[in-house]
Amino acid sequence: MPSPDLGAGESPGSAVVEAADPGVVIDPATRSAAGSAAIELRAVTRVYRDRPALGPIDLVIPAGEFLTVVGPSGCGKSTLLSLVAGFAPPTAGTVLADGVPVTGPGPSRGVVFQQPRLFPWLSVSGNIGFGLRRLPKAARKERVAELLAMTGLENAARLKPYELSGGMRQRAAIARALAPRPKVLLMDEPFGALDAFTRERMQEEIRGLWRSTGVTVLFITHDVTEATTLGTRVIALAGPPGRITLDARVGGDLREKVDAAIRDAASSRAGMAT
Amino acid sequence: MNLALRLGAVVFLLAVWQVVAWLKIWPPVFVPEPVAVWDQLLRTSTEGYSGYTLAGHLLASLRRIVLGCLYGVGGGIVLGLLIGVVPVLRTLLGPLVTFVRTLPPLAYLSLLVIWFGIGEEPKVWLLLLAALPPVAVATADAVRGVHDDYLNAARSLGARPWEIPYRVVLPSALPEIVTGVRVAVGVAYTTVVAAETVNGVPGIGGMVRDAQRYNQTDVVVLGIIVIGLSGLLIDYLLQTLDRRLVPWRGRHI
Repeated sequence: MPSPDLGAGESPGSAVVEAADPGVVIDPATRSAAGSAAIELRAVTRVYRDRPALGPIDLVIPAGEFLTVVGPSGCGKSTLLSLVAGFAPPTAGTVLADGVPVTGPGPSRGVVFQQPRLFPWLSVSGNIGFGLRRLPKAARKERVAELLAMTGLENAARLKPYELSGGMRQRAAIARALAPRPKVLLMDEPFGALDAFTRERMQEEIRGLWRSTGVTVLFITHDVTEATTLGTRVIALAGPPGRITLDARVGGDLREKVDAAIRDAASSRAGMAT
Repeated sequence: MNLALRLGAVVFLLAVWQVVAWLKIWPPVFVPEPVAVWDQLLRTSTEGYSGYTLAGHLLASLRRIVLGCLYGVGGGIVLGLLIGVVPVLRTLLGPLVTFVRTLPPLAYLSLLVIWFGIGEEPKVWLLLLAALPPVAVATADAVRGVHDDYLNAARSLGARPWEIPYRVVLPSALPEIVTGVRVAVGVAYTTVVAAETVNGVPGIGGMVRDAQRYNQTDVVVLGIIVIGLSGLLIDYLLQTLDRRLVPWRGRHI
């Protein structure tokens, strides 16, 4: 799979890496997108039982971005996600969502876990509708149907989670998280437990959902290829305590460009041969 | 095939019993003939025993079991939820529940008789106290075992703090709770005969106790068989309930 070399391995510890590839534009970690930040971390640290797990970290995620966070296991990337989700408070610093300090989990930030964690006593529809309880019944039904269609689960609406395949379960989990129209979708290695074929298909689908919904995505992974294929911006985390060692903006169509470049090169070579 | 095997086992047991009775190694007071027990079944079903028919005795016992279990299971779930969720209550009530659970019900029957007299109350209380601890312990353990991801998922989806216990924690804990209920009903079943040793008529336990006083071994044996068979039936019903309530049991999700 074509993936831009971001040089993460070549200069560990550096905050910003220059890239030779013109398709990759580097931004400083502290770049501030005035007014349009979906998520902002200011000097955030997290200490867990006397052990520094993360930070200090400064990070601005502009609305609409597909940010992938890549790093080895235990580097603090899940901690980063749980701080943004509001599952845990930062030890120091502030996490802002839409300019407002995060004080706990909320429907503005949907979460998809590594395991689907669907509620087994509810059907697929029931799971997707879980976050829509405050909607009137008709509106809820309509929204659930919309999400079933978006995620290709129309025929699984009445099935229970244990009757689904792994990919379908994770799709239902994504639909459940997207149902309350969150501004940010937080995904913690969501495809890590899937087989390679399903994972690739799910990667395509999550890009499609990101494009069609305009949701801001924070996607955690330990797979460099996955990070660089999916993200419009990739940050590499090293730790503990987790720190940003690379922050690279990737052109949204970089992958297509690379694909096209390879195709062109191949066809011109083929042309020379004939 | 399975059914045939089971029927065969029952017939075999009956045959062994009949042979032992025929051999007259022990007098009929010790080992009554199966036929005598069958006669007692017919007689107690029609004429009755100690003033009530067999069905009357059984219904009285079942009523106590159902009432005791309902209160015990209800109280056990609430108590287990509290113990599982509130750390202070775990420290305070956890040992107490374990203490009551290890006591044989007969140990506190006398106390209940002093407190509540010899009517229905002490019997229902005894079954309640027998049924409550298994459910409370199972619920508390299950509640503590609910994975954080489920709670976090619910919170992220806008669930309010007070909605979490009944919308997420209880349903997540349902498999263990249902297992606890099955244990509780079993304990209540073994306890009902003890509960009915004091003024237990009508009641299967009372019937057995009266029969024992007059050395009517055939009635005693009949009582034991009726208790055993109705217990089997109730456990079968609970298994069906289990499959209905927790179809995801044992499946990876």
